[in-house]
Amino acid sequence: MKKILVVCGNGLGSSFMVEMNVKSILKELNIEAEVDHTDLTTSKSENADYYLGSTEIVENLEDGKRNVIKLNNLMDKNELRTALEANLKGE
Amino acid sequence: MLKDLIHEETIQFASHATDWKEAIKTAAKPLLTNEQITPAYVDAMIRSVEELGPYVVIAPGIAIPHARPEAGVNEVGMSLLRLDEAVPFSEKEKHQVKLLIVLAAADQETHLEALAQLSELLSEEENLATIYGATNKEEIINLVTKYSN
Repeated sequence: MKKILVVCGNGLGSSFMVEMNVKSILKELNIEAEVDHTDLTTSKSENADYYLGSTEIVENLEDGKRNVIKLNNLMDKNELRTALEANLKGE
Repeated sequence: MLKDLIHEETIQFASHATDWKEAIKTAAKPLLTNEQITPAYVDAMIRSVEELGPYVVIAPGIAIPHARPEAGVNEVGMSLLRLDEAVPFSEKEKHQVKLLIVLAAADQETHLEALAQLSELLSEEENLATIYGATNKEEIINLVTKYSN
């Protein structure tokens, strides 16, 4: 099972809000994945198949190896659905 | 529940703010007055944006300033500030903020139920229209109550 890590600055606010939306969308799409949330600093030492969050935050994680999913609007479920579909189709 | 946090005392309206720092300070005032947070927490929220950028702008026009519990949270809380005139958190269009919801989490868990409800509320366009168009606190309280179960 793939692991998706939702990342925000402090790991307390937006990452949790997004985690909930990720879970509900994955359910709709019938995709199974492990979803967790954390802060930017912790995320750097955590292994995940996908790192998802607002562009400003997760671009700090881009190192050419990590799969980073950047979101423009964290509250936009349509943007999130499109991003998840594009990355996790077939899982 | 969301309505226990966002209520008569923690909702504010203002015409404008001089800059984003001022907006955060104004938005946090009710929590400071109720001693749910300390002045250090307000500084930490500002520093967090300075260090990490305008990431607290979670959707176009909406910011949820927050910092870590240990920065100075006495009791879990939220406060809402609606501005008539947007204040820039950066030069980008999506960072022009009209709605601020200060989040004070006392630990990793207790605020999550209310945050989940807030997230649901903010996900609906029509709710945002209600908030932006509200002429009194009652309209926002009604909306918050609807999402508090």
